[in-house]
Amino acid sequence: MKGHPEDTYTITLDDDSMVHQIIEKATKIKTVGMVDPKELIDNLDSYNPVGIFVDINLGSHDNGLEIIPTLRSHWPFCPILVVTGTPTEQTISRALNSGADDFVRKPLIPDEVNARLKLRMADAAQKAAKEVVEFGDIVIDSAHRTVDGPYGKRFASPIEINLLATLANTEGAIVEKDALKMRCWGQIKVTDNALHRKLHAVRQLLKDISPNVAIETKYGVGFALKYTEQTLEAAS
Amino acid sequence: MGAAEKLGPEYNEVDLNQQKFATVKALGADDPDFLVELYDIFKQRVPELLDKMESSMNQGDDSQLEKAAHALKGTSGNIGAEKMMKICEFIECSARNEKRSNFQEYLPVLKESFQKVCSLLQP
Repeated sequence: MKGHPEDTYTITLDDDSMVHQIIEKATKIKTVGMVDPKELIDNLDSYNPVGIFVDINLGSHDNGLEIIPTLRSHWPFCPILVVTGTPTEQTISRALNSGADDFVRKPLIPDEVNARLKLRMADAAQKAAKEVVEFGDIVIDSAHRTVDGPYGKRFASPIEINLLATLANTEGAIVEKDALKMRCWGQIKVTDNALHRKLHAVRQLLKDISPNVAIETKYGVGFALKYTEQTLEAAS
Repeated sequence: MGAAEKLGPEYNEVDLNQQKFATVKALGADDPDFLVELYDIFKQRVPELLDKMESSMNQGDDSQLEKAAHALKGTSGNIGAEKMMKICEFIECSARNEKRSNFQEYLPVLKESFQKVCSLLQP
């Protein structure tokens, strides 16, 4: 890292510096405290945190939720925890759909802050190890943007590979339409048509490499990746 | 009508919730400097936020009042300043829902509670 602490640290973005102090003590991990989201956004390349805490009510600054997609796309595997004084269902689901992993409530409960960060750090380590994700009889390699299956190997565009990896990482559970858009396009607003075009391309790609893996549409809910083992004769 | 009835149940909260305060104190058990610094930030930040609340009340700016009350709610909550936190929560909600209220009457109560909490903050 360039000129920043090289050891393990988190980043805490909150306009109340007491929160920086409490988080550092509670987690026993040094935190780089920031008040203005711009300070972080302008220097993303200078940091390599093991976790990020973002207050979603940043006083006079922007809404903390707006920067989460940028943080997520820069650090795909870094745990992002939102800090909220008003944990309504709506703010929590918006935060999670934007790419956050978890949330902590204010007033902070030190043991809870510590437990949630450590749990998410363990998850992140597992996810990072899964840059190559296996699902059924296919292998998705996000780094090389390849998908491998019994019929062969295909290359995919960054959005296609992201879409497929997002579906595969949830182990076949349904991913909501908006969450899928957020994970693949970040802050860029995209139409349902754009999403369907990409899904169509990924479905074609899957057909080319395996008879057993397909994307299912759950109407009005979202999408899920399914593995159905078939004999090669049945498939043909 | 006494102040308690006039200002609602928030008035009857304790100034400092000892249980929450103990949790924060425990964090500084092996590092007294941590508590000194934390209290200093609290003592510096609260008057600033009270000023913001007062000026937004004077200007009738509910949006600014909501933000300032939200910030003070968080800062008070950090160390267990229960009465300030509950009053700020009430003001934040009322300002958000554009419910005109006797906000001004809460200011002396907040300031008094702040002084009491400060006198209890010993590392």
